[in-house]
Amino acid sequence: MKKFITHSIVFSILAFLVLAIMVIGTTLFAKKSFDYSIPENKNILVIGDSHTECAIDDRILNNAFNLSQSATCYFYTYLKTREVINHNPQIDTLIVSYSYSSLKKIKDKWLIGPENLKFKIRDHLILFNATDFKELFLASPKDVLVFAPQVIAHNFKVLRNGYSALGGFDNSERNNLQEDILKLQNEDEKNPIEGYSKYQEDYLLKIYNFSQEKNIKLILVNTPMHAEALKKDTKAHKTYYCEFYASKMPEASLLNHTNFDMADSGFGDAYHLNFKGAKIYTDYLMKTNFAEDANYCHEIK
Amino acid sequence: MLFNSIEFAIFLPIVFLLYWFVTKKNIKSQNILLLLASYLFYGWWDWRFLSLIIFSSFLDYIIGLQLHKTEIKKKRKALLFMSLIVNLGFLGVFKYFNFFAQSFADAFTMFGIPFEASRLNIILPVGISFYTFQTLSYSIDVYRKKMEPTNDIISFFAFVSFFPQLVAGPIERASNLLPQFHKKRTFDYSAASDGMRQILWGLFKKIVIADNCAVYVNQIFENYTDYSGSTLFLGALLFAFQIYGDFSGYSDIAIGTARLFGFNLMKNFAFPYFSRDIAEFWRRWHISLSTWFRDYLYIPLGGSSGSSAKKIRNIFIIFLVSGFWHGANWTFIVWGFLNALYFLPLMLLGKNRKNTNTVAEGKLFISFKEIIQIAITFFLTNIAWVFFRAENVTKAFKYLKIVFSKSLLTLPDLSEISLVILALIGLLVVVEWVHREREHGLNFTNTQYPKFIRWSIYIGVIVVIAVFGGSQETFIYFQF
Repeated sequence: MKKFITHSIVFSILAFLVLAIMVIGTTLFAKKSFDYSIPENKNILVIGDSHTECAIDDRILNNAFNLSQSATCYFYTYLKTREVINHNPQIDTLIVSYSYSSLKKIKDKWLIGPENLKFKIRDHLILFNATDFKELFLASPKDVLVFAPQVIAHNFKVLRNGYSALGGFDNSERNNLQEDILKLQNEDEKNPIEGYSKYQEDYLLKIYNFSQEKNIKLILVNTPMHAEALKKDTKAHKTYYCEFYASKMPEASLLNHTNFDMADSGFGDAYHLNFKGAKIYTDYLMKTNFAEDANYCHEIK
Repeated sequence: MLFNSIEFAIFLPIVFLLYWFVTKKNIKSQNILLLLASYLFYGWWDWRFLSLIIFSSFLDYIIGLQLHKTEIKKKRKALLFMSLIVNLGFLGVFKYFNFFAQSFADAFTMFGIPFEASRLNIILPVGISFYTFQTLSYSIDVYRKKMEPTNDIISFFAFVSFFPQLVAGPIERASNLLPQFHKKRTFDYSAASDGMRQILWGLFKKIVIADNCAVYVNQIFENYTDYSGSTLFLGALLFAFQIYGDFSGYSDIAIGTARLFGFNLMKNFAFPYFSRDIAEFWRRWHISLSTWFRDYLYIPLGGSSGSSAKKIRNIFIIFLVSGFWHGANWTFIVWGFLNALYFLPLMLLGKNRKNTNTVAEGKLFISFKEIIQIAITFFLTNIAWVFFRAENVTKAFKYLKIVFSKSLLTLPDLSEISLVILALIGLLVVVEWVHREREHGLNFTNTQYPKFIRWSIYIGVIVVIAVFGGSQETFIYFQF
């Protein structure tokens, strides 16, 4: 029995060490080998979740570099912001997705839920420093332990794919709007407020502080939404959203384009644009030069 | 609690240490510990259904004692019927009620008689088919006087709910498992070490093979009209590996876990995809269920003795019941029917026991004839698996219609299938082929490999599980 327990313990430690060495080794290698540079002419970094991923076409806005990825919480957005800006001093403008859903409690799932963590940690581990890892580990210890080893193989995939592994403009041809509208019309009630995500708020503020520190212009953008989807958020929630922006990020601009005049053909679904909508919206941003022209928050005040 | 979860990784060492250190001196306290651990293991999923297991255990315990007390034939029969009716009644209500209600309604509607069947809004208790068959084996064996009933209520309850095999088998016979609860268990280093290897191999099959195949299988089966025949054929192949990895993986973990506690469970899978004919396949696939049906249904019906008509009847009964055991859906019945069709010619020609040894026994390589035999058997099982996996019979036929169209001759769409997964399936096949005469794929007992090599292989398997493991999926057989 003693022999069995000793062997089991020694074996477990050995297996853990081998895995830890492989995770750390491949991550350090990938971190060192990854090409962080973006083209010299790109001075605008677009970052965030599916809203900006589907809305800002960086082939049209050709001085922008869109690195948004669907289901990305502000934790990973902050890491991307930090690493890309640190390696690319030409960036002077940062556009971050800030939708009505961004601060909701439900977004915690994007950080600590196993479904999302599995994919996000393996894509983004090369961007982590020890503190980031510790913070994610404390937020979701079990899932970090279970999924971190997957980076051993995935680090090489990230190296091979470069920035495209971390996001990019989604030239979406999706056409689910009518289906979504029907669904939304059948739901009588407005979206309930189940609290706000501390993680999302904290990391959004980290992005804000980082941009201030680096003297980079921060533009928060709430991309166009279909009128049916817009009805779902309560006034109280919208007020919280606006107040958070106004009180915590006074130096940032907010482009609240949820009411943007967009034909149905421009929507992939009620919350996201498709490639047609992205073209119209990106053209508009270029034309107005990101002017703070449509801020619903002003109306609330 | 799932075997492939962190909760189980914490639960198992705790129970193991308590078992061998705290309750070591007394069999009764060891059995109490196993009983409590088993109830915790089951209750982790849904504690309400513990009452079903407790009731079922209590009923068969009492019936066993009563059967022993009386020699009056009528009374003995009545007691056995009571056990059968109550146990199968639970199964009927929870598993089959809605199926029968719907089938009756459909049948009436077909004849133009509108019939609204009321349905029960219930969930299926995990493992009900497994533990029901296990307790039934006790009542039947006591009735047949093949074993003495036990007076020890703790042992009996622990036998019914023994956590390693409670929810998905192997379905143990009372005559094999129950006496082990009465005997003093001594710790055996080599059995426990091999148990750990078997657990590791089971985890590989479940987490790496089954869970990764599941992603592609779900994609292909749910959108089968979008794919070519060759891709659908690949989807069926992947399902064959998914279900094998899932179920035999579970059995390996169950058997390995039981060995840590000094128990020997029966072998449930013996490398079935290396079978040369369907009869051999059924001697190697889900052995505990096949032998259960053989002993408690097929042989009492007359088995393979008697007229050809009787033989054919018995074969169809056993395969159809086996199909129906898997689930309340016509797909399982068609699956059973197909297997009966495959099996029948072998039995009628007296060739069903032709391949009772292991293929290419004692050799590394296999003859061309055997390759063809294995390929044909594997192909036939794959066709049947399509019915097992499909949502309904119509979809299964449509799926097969596309498979056997011209597009079968095109290249399959591999764009969404990771080549790494195909390579890992290849690894599974190679390892199991090399170890096909052993208990499991990672059995190194009495081999010449030095410790360093063996440990490197185990760590290699752990790394593969950690790196390529799919999402934590529940076991397919939990629904049965």
